Parts: sequence; C-alpha cells; structure tokens
Amino acid sequence: MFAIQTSAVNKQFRRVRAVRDVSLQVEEGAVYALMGPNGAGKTTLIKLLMNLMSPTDGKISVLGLGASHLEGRRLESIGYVSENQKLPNWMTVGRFLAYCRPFYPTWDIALEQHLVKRFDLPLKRRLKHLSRGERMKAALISALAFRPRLIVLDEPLSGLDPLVRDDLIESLRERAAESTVLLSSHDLAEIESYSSHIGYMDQGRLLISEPLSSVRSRFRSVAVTGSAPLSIPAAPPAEWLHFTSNGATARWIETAWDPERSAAKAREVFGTVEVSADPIPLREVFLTMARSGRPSSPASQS
Amino acid sequence: MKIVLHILAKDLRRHWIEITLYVLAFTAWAWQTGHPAGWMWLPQRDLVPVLPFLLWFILTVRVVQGESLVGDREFWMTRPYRWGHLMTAKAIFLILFLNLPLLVAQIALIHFAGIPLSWSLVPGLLFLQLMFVFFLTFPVAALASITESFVQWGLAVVGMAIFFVILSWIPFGKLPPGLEGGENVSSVLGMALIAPALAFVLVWQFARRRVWPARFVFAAALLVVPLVILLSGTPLIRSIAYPRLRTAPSFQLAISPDDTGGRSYNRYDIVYPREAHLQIPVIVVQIDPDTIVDLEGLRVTFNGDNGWRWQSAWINGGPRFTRDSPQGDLDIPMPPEVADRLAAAHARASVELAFGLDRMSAPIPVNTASNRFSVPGSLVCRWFNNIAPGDRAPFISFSGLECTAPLRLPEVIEFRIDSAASTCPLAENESPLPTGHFATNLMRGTSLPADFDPDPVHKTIPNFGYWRPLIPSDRDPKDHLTASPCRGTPMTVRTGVSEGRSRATFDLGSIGAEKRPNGNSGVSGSIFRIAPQP
Repeated sequence: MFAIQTSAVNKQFRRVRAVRDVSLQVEEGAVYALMGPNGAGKTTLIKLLMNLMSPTDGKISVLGLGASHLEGRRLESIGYVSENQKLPNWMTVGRFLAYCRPFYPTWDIALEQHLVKRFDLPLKRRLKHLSRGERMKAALISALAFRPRLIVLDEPLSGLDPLVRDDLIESLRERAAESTVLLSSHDLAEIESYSSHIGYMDQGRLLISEPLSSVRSRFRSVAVTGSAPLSIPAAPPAEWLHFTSNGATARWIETAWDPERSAAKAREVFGTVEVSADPIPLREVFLTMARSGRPSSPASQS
Repeated sequence: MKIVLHILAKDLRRHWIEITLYVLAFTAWAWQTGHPAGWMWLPQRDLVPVLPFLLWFILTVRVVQGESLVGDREFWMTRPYRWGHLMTAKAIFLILFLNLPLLVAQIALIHFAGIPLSWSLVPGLLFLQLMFVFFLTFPVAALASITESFVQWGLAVVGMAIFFVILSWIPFGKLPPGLEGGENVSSVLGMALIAPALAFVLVWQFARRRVWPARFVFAAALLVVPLVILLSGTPLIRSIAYPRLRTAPSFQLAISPDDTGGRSYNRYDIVYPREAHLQIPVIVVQIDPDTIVDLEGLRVTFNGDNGWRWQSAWINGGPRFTRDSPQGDLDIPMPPEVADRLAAAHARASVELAFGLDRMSAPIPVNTASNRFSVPGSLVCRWFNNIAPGDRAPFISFSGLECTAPLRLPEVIEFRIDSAASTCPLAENESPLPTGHFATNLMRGTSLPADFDPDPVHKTIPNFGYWRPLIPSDRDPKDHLTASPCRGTPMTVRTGVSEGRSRATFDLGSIGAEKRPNGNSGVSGSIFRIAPQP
C-alpha cells in the first residue's frame, strides 16, 4: 500500500518545466527523504502532492485520494510544514495551537504538551517574535499533535542550528512508527541517518527513488587494472557512469553493483583484469547522478 | 457551526482594535449627522463621514485576506478548513461587525430626527443593510479575494480608478442619449451581470482558489460598466424600458393655442453648436385628474411636401403634465436648414413620447398649524424655528417648511396650497391674492423600501414656485408671484405610485408656418404662426 503515488506528473510554469514525468511511490510507514539541489523541483512536487498547485498533467494519489480532492476534512490526517509557510504571526504560540486544535478530531493534547515541553517553546510569545527555529517547532507541533497518518515536510531543517535540528529529527523519529513521512532537503547529512527511503531530484526529474539500503549497496566506485594498456570500449555499459581510463587502469561508478555479475561484465569488456570495488558515500552518489543527468536504472523501484 | 464560530472568534480577536475604531467612527458620524450644529468648531469635521467607510473597506479587506485566498504559502490551506465554513464565518463577521453598527447608527439617526421608531421600519432597514452588503462589502470582498495583500488590493483599486478615468474620455455624449427608463433597464441588466460575476469570484476563490479565472471574471465584470453605458441608448433597451402602448393612451397631446387663439411655435438659433431650437407649446387633454404624465424623452418627426421627412434624435427629458398643469414646451434641437425648410413646407409633425405614468391618491388635507405635523407618506414636517406662526419664509426659494422621511421619500408626493386659503399676512403695499390660484410641489423618491444612503433620514424642503391660475392665461397678473405657505395655511397632499413607463405617438397636425408679423425676435427667438391646416 502506498501513502503517496504519482504517475508521470509534470508541472509547467510558462517556459519552465519544474517537474518532469515524475513517478513516485512512497510506501506506508516509510520515511522518505526527497533530496536534490536548490531548484530541483522538490518544493513544487510537494505542493502538487498537497493540492497547493495543480499538475499540468499526470496523476497524483495521496492516502488513496486524488490530490485534487485533498481539502477540508481530508486534510485531518495529513500534517504539512514548509520552511516558507506563512503562519498567523499575530497569534501567540499557545493561541496558535489552541486555534488549530478544534480542526482535528484526533488532536492529542498530551502529545501537544509533551512536544511543547520538549521544544521548550514560550507559549505566550507571538509567533512573529519567535526565532526561525522556534517558529518551525511551533509549526511542527501543530502538524504532529493530531497524530497524522502522513507527515509532509518541505525543507524543515534548512538553516536551523544543530541543536534545534536534532530536536526536530528526534520528535519525527518518535512519530515515524505511526506515520508515513515525506520530507525534502537539499542537505543529505541532515537526514541520512533517519530515512528509510530516498529520492533524488534534479532539474525536475526524479533520478533515484528507492530504499536507502538499496542505494548504498548498488553504487560502487569500480577500478580495473590490467597487465597491459586497456582497450577502451566505444560505448561503456549504461550502468557505468563517469568512466575514465589511464593506461592499464580504468575507473567508473557502477550503478547496479552485483559482485559476480559486475566483475564478469568488466572482464567481458577488458579481458583478464583485476576488479576492485569500494562503497561510495551517498553524497557522491547524488553528485554522480546530478552530473550524469539521467535516471538511475532501478528508479522505478521504491 | 462550531468551526464557523471558532474562525469568527479568531477574527474577532484579531480585529478588535479595528472594530472598536469602526464603531467609534460610526458613533461620531451618527452624532454629527444627527446634530450637525455641534460640530462646526471641528476643522476635521469633513472627515467624519468618510472615516467609517474607509474603515469599512479596510476591515473587509483584512478579514477576507486573514486567510488569504491567493498564493500557496498560507498555513491554513493545508489545514482541514472547509470552504463553506470559512466563507460563512467571514460573511457573519462582516454582517455582524460592519452592518450591525451601521444599523444601530441608522436607528439612532431616525430617533434623533424625531421620527417614531416602529416595526414598520424593519423591512426598510434590513433592505438598506442588504444594499450596503451588495454595493460596498460584496465588490470590496471580491477584489480582496483575488489579491494577496492590502497593498495589492490598493494597487488594484488604483488600476480600476485609472480604468474609469480612461472610460470617461470615451465620448459617450456622441452616442444616442439614454433616457431615464433606458438607463434604469441597462443598470438593472448591468447589476444582473455584475452580481453573479462577483458572487462567482467569491465562491470560486473560497472553493477552488484558482486565482486567474477569478481575476478574469472580475475584469469582465468591470467591462460591463461601459457596456451598460453603451446599451442604455440603444433601441432595444429603449423598447424594453418604454413598451409601446397597445391601446389608445389615456390622454391626448396637441399644440396649445396661443393668446390669439391660433397656433404658433418659437424658434431660436444658437451659434455653437450650430443648431436651431423649436419650442412647441403643447397641452395635454383628457387627462385623468389622478394621473401625472412625466415626460422622459421625445422624438419628433416632420413629414413635408414631396416626401420630405426629418426625424429628430431622442431628446432626454421634458415637461411634466397634470390636470392642473397641462401645458409645457417641447424643445427640439435641429439643423437650422431643417427649421428653415419647415417654415416654408407644408409639413406635419408627430411626436413620439417616452413617459412614465403616476397614479395619485385623493388629496388629503394636512393641518399645518402646529410646529411639527405628520404628512401622508411617512413624512414629518416642521416649520423652521425662526418662522413665527402666520409668518412667511424670508427667501423665495425657501418655503420655511422642512419635511423628513425615514429610509426614503415616497415614490411620488405632491403638496398643494390654494391662494384662497392662504393665511399669510399681506406685506405693506401688497395686493391681496386673488382666489383661483394654486401652487404645487411634486417630489419623487423611490419605490424601493429604502434609498441607498447611509443617512436614513431623508430631508426635503418643499418649494412651491409661483402662484398659478387654475385657468391658464398669459395675462394673469399673479403669474410670477412667489407662492409661500405660512403656518396654518391649509395644504393638501397626494401620494402616488408609478404605473410604469410607455411610449406613444401623437399627431400634432400641420406645422408648416410663417413668421408672425408681430412676433418678437432676438435672443429669445422668433415666433412662427402655424398656417391653418389645408
């Protein structure tokens, strides 16, 4: 069962195509981190999911409903927080939470109080007088206190100091057991330890979308060494990215690493060579994907 | 409903300062309107009537934009608001905190004016609130729903003002003139287009928040305004406003006899624009004593020798005919060549009238002896304080009588005084008024339950003009004596209702004329005697 499912979604703003043919599936219970550089289309995709915008074409389903029907009562089970959301700044934190409360039949006052305590928020201070991190915390409490089935967070951590960031992540981790979480970020280090699935967007395309463990296992930095200068193939296989060679040595990033099959493929191309493969950090995976600018072969898996 | 009240309470908490200011502004306005003399010392007194409505606009915009319907960054958009609840909460807020203070102020003003408060005023007061919602809140809220901020709203208003300035440059004066009835019909048509458009904008924005279609509809609604102006003079609208009578009209029109017993008309020429004007004296005959014919437009056709034909454009306005004042002049502009030809040709004239008919009640006598007295049509009249019993008002244009009515003036009301019953003492060297003279004052209000005016007290000062003989005569010496009532002068009042508008054509007979030998000429023109009909 998917909490979020999109099929060939596009969003065009006059001449700019912000989202291109995105097919995304987020399993229920997953913590899905949507990564990508600034301007990759993450925020637009999230706005499409939240029915804040209409797609130019394609289908979107959120919690089993078409996104265009996502309004009114149907939002009672979705918590959404965005870094650039306009909050009612004239309200105090306490008044803001009290205002949100009656909209949600499942609002948990004990959880609200727990989160307020945990975040150490001044209830009597107006939202406009809070720091950015504190405002984010207030927004997050208002999005978590009703125990939503789906939590959607758009760049919730950017620009926050590490202490605040840890607080937010920790509270999200607590909620992860009962909710599906989709959060976007352009900083991988923020969420790497916390996510179960990962998606990578660049220039509107979803280049990777799969479990984090799968990404970690299938990307390798491969080096082959022969006894004589290697004959370079005219067209390296599609799963070899950033192919370089220097005399008797060739290197590339393997995007579908399988110890036996990948080594056999290398020997098939170069003959008798010594094959070595090293894991690469996720950061390098994404940089490779961004530079190659094409979808990873198993992108359709989630 | 719980959520509606929850949003309402939130808005009340947010805007309580503006609401307080608004209530204070309306209190000041009501006090100033009810007691104008007490405010003469205040240099900023002219601001007092403006301020409540400025705050009305500000509050409407801020409340609608409290949950902005434009953009995608508002926190409430991803919360389980139901658009019906949100819109209801806003509507209740605006009615409760904008209309209620206005209603209270209006009740106070009626009370200040000495008009007894009664349940009969309730429908009119509620109708007045409805008009304020329709003409003020509705367009302001619709514009607020398609703009993101107060600044953007203000810029849109400036843009609209520029649009209307540009519109005023269009030479609408060169279009066929719109008669009053045509203007009414096209205004109703305009409102019938604009109101659903604005309703669509509001509902669409609350329900869908797709701003560009809503902005497009709003702009289209603006374009209805020039359309209405353009339409008002068209034959189609004129025929709707003034349907042609299917039966014979209830009165007849003829050229009235001059002092020689013949028929004549006056012609005067003006240089710019170069045109001649024919003033044809006409008389309405066979008119019912309870009927008033209010001429709103006319068109003259001349048919002469050898198939020559000339038809005027529709001319706005015209005299009002009653049994007591059946005469008036039809003033017809035309090219001088037409007037010249007319004089020489054996032309016949016919006139097509666009008119309204009013049915008047029987005259009701009114006792004017006391300082304040009631008049049919819910009017309360009073003599000005400085007019002692039996005195006449000191100015020609001022009868000394002031009448007030709550919410609206009667649709038609006519005051009448008769010279035979005048109680005014004669001034030194003043000859006594001959009997057989009368003076009337006819006023028009509205047929609606209330007039669109924040001040519900409508004041009027009846002005009776000149004494007129019951039997018209050019030689009547009292023709230009100012008619004034005094305290105690018996007066009768008739109220009336409109019986609708119609159009009918009357044959005026031969108009071919020759210049009258003893006719005066010069600035006031030349009198042409109409040749006897062949």
